[in-house]
Amino acid sequence: METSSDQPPSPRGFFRSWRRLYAAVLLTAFSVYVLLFVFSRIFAP
Amino acid sequence: MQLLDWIVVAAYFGLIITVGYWTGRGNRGLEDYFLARRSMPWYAMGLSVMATQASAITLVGTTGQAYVDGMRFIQIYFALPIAMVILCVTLVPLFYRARVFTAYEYLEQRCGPHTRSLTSLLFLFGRALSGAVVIYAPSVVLSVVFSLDETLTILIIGGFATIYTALGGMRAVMWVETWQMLIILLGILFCLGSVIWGLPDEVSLGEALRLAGSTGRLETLSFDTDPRQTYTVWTGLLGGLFLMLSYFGCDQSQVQRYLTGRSLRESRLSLIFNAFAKLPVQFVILLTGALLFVFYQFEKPPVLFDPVTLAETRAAEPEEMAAMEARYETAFAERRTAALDYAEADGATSEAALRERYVAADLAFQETRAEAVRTAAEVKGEPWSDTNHVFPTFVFTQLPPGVVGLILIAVLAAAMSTVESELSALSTASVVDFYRRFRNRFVRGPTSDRHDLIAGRIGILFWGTVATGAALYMGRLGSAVEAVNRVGSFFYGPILGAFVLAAVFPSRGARRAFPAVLSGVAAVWAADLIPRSLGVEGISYLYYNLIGTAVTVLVGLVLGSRARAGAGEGNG
Repeated sequence: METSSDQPPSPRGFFRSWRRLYAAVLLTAFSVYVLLFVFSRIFAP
Repeated sequence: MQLLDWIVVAAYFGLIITVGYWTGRGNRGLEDYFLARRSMPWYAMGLSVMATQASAITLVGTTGQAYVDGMRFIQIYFALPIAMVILCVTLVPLFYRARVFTAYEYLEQRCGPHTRSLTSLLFLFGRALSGAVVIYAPSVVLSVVFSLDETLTILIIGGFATIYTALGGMRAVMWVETWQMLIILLGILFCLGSVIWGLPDEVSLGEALRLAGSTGRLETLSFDTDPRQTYTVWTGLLGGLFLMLSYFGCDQSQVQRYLTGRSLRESRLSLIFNAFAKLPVQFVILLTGALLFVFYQFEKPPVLFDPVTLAETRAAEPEEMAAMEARYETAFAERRTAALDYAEADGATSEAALRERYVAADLAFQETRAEAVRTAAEVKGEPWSDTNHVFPTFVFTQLPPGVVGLILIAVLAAAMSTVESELSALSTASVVDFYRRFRNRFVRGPTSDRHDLIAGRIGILFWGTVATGAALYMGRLGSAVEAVNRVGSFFYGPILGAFVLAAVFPSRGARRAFPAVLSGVAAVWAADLIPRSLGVEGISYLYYNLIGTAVTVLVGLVLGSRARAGAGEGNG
């Protein structure tokens, strides 16, 4: 269990739980993969 | 190098001495000295973690690699955000709550003292000479570029990093690394800006990207399922995940960074920061290299980027090189014209034909350059490439005074931040995992903080001397040091396996971690050695960590369940 001293940066914002922060990290990573795919397709030989 | 550059370099050394002195005062015991009194905020830890990983080769070699080979390298980092989340959920809270100095100390609580000694010893052995490589590699490039004595460059990087790491301790090191990473990031952005600025007026950024893309330099993803290939999405995600978990979760040089957090929240946030920042930073570095390739479509690059080797090759093979350089001139002029025509043909009906002409001209140009590289390798009598000289050549021939100094200190900062982390991690493991434990067997009663502090400082001076000394003899010890580093990389996976046994299977496999780790090392060794002895290409080295971890966990579980069965029969 998380304790009150173990809160992510913005307790009142979206990232009020670590789970949401981790989900945001993974979602961002996935978005980066997609963006890289699009980037390399646009300029592909 | 002009006066302004030297002023920038002097300001850099002034900054790190001031920051190191100011933040490193008042060390009273080992917790102060090795863990910065567990007082660091997340942003300092996050930048320090990043600085530790960013060696000079990251800046110099990665841009060169993108110039030569494109941006495929980024796939190695694909699993980093996933690894960071896994570590934040699993190992980071365990380490933090156990109040340990080293990652291996935690293993003693679950797996026994022998496993702690073994894993710490494997870390020390694997990392003992990596300091030599991180000092030597940038020293060679910098000495060539500045026409400085190689010995002097090695002594400056190794000596300086050793002295202020020993004097200031972890708090000083981490605040210095924070500044160093900011300098590195500034240097990277300046480089990218300078390359874009250096493109001809008639070539826009979009056209430059089109030129780089036409030759495959912007190919960032490969879905090839061949496990022998390193730069693929699957190898990056699967093999890379275990590499990142091992490196960030079990390597003392990284674990020590986030053990300094003033709370568990700060330690986790430092890793989350890296999860967000690492891929974009790596992308910018690689993009700089790819755009450097476009820059040299319009500015003639030297036939070999290393001026010393070029002079040696010209002296050894004057006629062959003269003929080759004449062909090189022609190939460059043809490629330049083809590149300009293609860049300006945006949307024109002849675009496909112009692209084909440009790609063919680039191929002809690259063949001529490859021929020159082969000749240089023959003259040297060993495999050789000038990848690491591409970026410094651009910096020192194209950039204005002041910016050259900035890029130089970014390279120095990258080199020194890695050396500092290696030295403090090696010293912590030596003192905490070995010296303090074995001293307590022979000396009764607690020792003073002062005694511990002296031991920590001696540890850093010892490992700094070993790393700098080995770097000085790297020319002669080269293959031996490389072999030790290669074998050292075999230990990552098995050490991660020991942590999996300790954290996930504390009652089933943890007590058998010692033989399990040895089995894991043997399995990785076999995966590397067998294909090489058969003369076939083995699987990518990124999968070694997966093999090591899997074998260690399996053997630990099997031995653990047999021991439990044996104990059950004995009881029955």
